[in-house]
Amino acid sequence: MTATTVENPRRIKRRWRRLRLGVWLLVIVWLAHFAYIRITTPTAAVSRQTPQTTALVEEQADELAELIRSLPPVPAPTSIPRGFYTPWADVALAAGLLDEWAPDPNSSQANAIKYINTPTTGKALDRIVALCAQRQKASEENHAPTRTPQSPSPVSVSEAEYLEAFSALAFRARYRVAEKHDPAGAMDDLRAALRLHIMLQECDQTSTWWLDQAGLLVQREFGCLIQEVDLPPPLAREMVTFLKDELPFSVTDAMIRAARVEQQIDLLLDRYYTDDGHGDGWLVLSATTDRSPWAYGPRPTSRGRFWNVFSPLFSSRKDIRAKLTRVREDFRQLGTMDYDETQRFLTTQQQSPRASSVLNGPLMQLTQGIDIYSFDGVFSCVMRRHALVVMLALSAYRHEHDTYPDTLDALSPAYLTEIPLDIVTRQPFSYERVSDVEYKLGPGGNESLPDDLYQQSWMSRLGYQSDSYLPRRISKQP
Amino acid sequence: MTDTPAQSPPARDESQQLVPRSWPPADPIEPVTPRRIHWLLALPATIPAMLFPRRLGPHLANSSWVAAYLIHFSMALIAFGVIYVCAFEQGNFFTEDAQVDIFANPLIELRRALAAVVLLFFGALNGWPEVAAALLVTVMIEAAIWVAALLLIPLYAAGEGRRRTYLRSVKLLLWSSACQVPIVWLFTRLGLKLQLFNHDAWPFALLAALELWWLAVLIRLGGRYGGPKEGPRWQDRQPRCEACGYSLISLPLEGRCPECGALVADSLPERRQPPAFAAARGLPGRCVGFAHTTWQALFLRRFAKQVTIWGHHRAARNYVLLICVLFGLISAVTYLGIYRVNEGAFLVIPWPDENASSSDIVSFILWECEFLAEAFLVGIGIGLSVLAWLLLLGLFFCRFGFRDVADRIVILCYSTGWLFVPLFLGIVGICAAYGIIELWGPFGELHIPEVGWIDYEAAIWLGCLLPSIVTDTVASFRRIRTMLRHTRFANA
Repeated sequence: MTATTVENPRRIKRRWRRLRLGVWLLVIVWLAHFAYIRITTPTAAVSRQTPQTTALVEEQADELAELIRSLPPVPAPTSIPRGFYTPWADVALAAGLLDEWAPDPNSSQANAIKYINTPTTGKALDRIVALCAQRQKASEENHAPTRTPQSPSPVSVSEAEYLEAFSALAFRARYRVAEKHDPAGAMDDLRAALRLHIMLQECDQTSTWWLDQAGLLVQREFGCLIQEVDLPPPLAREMVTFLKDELPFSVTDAMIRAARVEQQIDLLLDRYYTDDGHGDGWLVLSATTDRSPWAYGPRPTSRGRFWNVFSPLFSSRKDIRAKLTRVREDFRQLGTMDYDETQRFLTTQQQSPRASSVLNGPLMQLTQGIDIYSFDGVFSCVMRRHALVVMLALSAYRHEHDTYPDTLDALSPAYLTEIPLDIVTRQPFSYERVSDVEYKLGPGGNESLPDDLYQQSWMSRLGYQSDSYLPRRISKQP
Repeated sequence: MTDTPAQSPPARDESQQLVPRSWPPADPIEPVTPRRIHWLLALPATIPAMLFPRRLGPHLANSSWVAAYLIHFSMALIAFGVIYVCAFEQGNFFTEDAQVDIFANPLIELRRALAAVVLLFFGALNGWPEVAAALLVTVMIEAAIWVAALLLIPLYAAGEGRRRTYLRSVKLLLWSSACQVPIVWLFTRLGLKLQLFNHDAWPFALLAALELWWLAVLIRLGGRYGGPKEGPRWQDRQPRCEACGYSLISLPLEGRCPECGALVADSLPERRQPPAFAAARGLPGRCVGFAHTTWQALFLRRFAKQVTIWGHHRAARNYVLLICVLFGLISAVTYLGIYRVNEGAFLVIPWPDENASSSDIVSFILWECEFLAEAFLVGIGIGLSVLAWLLLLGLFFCRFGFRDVADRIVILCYSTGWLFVPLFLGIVGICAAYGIIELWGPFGELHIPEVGWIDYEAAIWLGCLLPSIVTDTVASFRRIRTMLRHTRFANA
């Protein structure tokens, strides 16, 4: 009896020691497993063969970026200090382009013309136009976005650099119409600028606000030009097709594009996650380098594979894909909503628990859909596209009838199969013919809407207050 | 540790009437039998430790350093993670419409916290300089913990050796890091849910309340001692003259001290009795005992020569905590009175209409009652100041580093009763300052002429609070020093 009582504690101690040893072994095996598997496994993208077409597109993207960087600075309007001009690109139009276009050695226009006629600038702009068209063509042929897993940013240029490119293209469009009587060339320039705008929207590192300003600059110039010159119907139709088919023409498409949901589903998952062949995989933290798309906080320069040991903490590829798909499905509902409803919807969506979660890792900001504060820009941009389509049809109508129609219904079906609605109010645009050379186009409905949303001063004087734009007829080519 | 009534010394040999060679221990407590907590069980042990700190404290104190540091580091990381989950997901804490799930799955919350920590380090550690800076900060924080543990010695001392007390304090302080996780979690989630971060005082009040709970857990963790019976509390003591410290062994009881001439009878243990607060039983008795002991500490000059200091540690510590609570309450009530007089009326915010959401109503109530949060903060601040004052003075007087704290902790605790004097002087000073400013200020009946650089308002405040400041620093310093001197060679 005594022997048993003496042995019992020993046996308990021995068992306890074995248990501890077992736990230790389990921990070591577990760590070794992660250390081996997670450190050695690359991302899905690296393990796949890069297609030839992708390499071609990559080369073009690099060349495009190089061209934009190499553009000389656009001459500032002489009346505006340079410091003002550069950050506020649309001031260039208000101060330079919208003034009377009369070449004068002492005026801003003279500097602009001199800049456009510089051989290096002209060649660079021609090449930019050609590359934008080629990229679009390649994208259509491949039925895939123009981005690749290896390069999520198709054009890595700074804000100051791409603002210069937009200004240069807008200047040249104006110059081609006013001096060369070449509306087709001007439309090519504007088309290239709008394509560039879309490409940059897909970039990960571009400030939405600056890009909105760049898009506004081009769209304003577009709108002004087609009020000042009557486009031949085929050219107008071509531009309408471009606006409706090539650019996002619905809020849903624009939101999905601005939120980069498709790119993330198709490409970013491959770039940052492994693929086990069954649609699942884990986050490769070491792959999220300085080009990683997290919006806030410091951006790491490079990370070792050691960090991948922590990847089990974060959501798997499958979970992230499901989240992104849900975001896309949520955006599908925007098709029938007006501005206020969209705002409410996005606010609710963004505040939902799934919107931003640290479990998404460095992709946290991407999976929460669109930034609630930048959706105004998307909405405004799409609304302007709709207005531009109407204005193109009006321009073509006047080209044939030497006057504007009494109502917008006259445009359909000869010029437009369907008159686009004002997406802010989901009502038809208000329209009024003022004279044979002038009309008023404005927001649908009588609701008071934010001025920033409409920026309507370029829409034929309607409600303009802030600048002195009056559409001046540009004489037709003799 | 459990207090027992003071034991009277053994009967002396009446025929010889001599002082014996030693006095037996006055209040020898029976230590708890400790059970070491293995580091593998450390994480699950934190939950009962937070719920029953007094019960688990001795066992935690006897666990290994590996376990203590494992808990400390892991809990610190999780607490950081909880903060950064909110920082990453909510952008900032001042989000008005934050969607917070209070009843989330704890395991998922733990995973999110760890993920946030990894994200934080992943973003911040860009190279070896950052790693070195992070390590340096960590080392400095750990060093601060080891220094802060010094202050806990008077609250933890059970009569064991100084080194043992100190290491126990450090270890329990490390274990108490576990409290920071629920504190941070409740602070962020409850703060966001109730929209406390839109207010000035409420978030701090919530944080103060939660940290007060941590302090209570920390103090209670050291409430029981589990270790060997080694230290002054379990040792026989040499009889000494209470006036000069001369050894009285084998001297006649009716005689005098050969060194200073003081009566030997004045140094006998029977001369000292436990204070009324320690001797009292039951709530009414404790209340009366508290008042009596405070009265004696305030007005009886020979108080320190009459009380037993070798035992009743727990009662003395309770006395200090009661003093802190009382001071906090008095300060809060005073603040409310001053606020009422000064503001005239509470904020007038229209009651939310019938379409208001529950969060609107909560926000309205919080706005209306913000003065309560301010009063709570004032009370907490004053209460903790008293405790800090005691600990700092103790650190200073007990030969720097609480070398003889086991002997002095009891009288140190009872000496805080004297702080009622500066407290009441301070309240009178604040009321006087308000009154003077009201009478002579810019809107008062009497206008003080502006003279150059003199800031009259500051001068009035200084003049009114000076008595309190002087008594708090100089007088209380002297009073506590006197008390400690009276108990320097105490025999009971």
